[in-house]
Amino acid sequence: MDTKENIWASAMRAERQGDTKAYDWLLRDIAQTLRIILRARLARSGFDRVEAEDILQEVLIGLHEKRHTWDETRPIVPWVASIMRYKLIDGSRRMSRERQRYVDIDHAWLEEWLTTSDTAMQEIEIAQQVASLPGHQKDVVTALALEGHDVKTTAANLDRSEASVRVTFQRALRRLIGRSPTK
Amino acid sequence: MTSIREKGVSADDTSMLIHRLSREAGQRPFPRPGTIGWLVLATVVVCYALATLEILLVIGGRPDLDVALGEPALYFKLASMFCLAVAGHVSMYRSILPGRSAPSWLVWLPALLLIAMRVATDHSGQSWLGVHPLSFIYCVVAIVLASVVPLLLLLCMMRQGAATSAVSAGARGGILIGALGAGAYAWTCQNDAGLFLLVWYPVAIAIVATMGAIAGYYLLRW
Repeated sequence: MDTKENIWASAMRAERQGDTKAYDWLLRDIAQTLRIILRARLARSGFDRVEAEDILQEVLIGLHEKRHTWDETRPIVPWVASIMRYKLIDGSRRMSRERQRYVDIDHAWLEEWLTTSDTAMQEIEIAQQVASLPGHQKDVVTALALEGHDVKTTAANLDRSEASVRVTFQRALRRLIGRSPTK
Repeated sequence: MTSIREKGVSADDTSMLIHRLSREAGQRPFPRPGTIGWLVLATVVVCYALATLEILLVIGGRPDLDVALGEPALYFKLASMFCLAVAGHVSMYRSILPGRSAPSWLVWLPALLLIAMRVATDHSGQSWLGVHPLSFIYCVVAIVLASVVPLLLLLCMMRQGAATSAVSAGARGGILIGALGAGAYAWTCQNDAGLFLLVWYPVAIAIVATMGAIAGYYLLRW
């Protein structure tokens, strides 16, 4: 009968006689069979084809280096399956560890980044809010609050009265804290 | 061999890898296919000889050996440890061959029965702690120490196999070596109580099995 068991077993026996052609065929046939299972299994755990191919190669090297542990009087399929399972578990553990290392961030660095970025985010948010104000209000808020000028200087710079600047600033504040500005 | 380790990650790379591997067909210098069973068995025999040598050189045989040879205690110790070692060997050997399942729990039965028989028929009148108050510590330490080098030797030979569960395989190797160490120690052990054999020999073997499991984790992966 030409079952996988019989074909693989006789190819492996041929390997022991130094038959490189039979051994090449055997490894290719095993690779082809295992690739399908490995891709399906690994896709389910979120690994891609490249990683499946990596594990497949680990399995082939394992089979090659441990081929003397197959007893000719025993079935070869359970032997292949057992090595594949071992390398699959081993490989997925290794890749998970590598992924962990890849996404891992140094704690101190992360803390610093978060602190910095918090300020940055606030600055961006404020700039966006100010930019959303109508023209006059925007100029007044920018001058008073962000650039730190006093009312007198601002009035002079914008060529407006100090009272006008104060009223505009007050309206802008109301708008910024969510109240509708008085008209 | 190192060139084989160079891998790529596409199917083409796999094809090249297979091409390289297939050229090594029939070139397996050590161990030759089909010889690993004999190699492991020979290693185990050497391990027992080594453990016995260690015990006899460091502690010496029991001074009342000629009397002990006429009584059942020594034979029960040797026989039960031999049965345990045989079971441990079968279990260990299967653990380094991919696709072989662990043997049925029945393989452990002869050793258990022999120990149970010794407990039931024990007329030595000794304490379960041994002849002296601290005999049990001495016994456990001696068995564990005598087992260290044989354990490493066996693990090195087991590396020639392909354990698909390194920790379990290491523990099985540890049970085997623990039984051999206890079997070697039996030649000097004056604690003939059945309960001593029931409790302290297994404690020592369990320690060696734990050592084997830990060492196996590092040594038996491939």
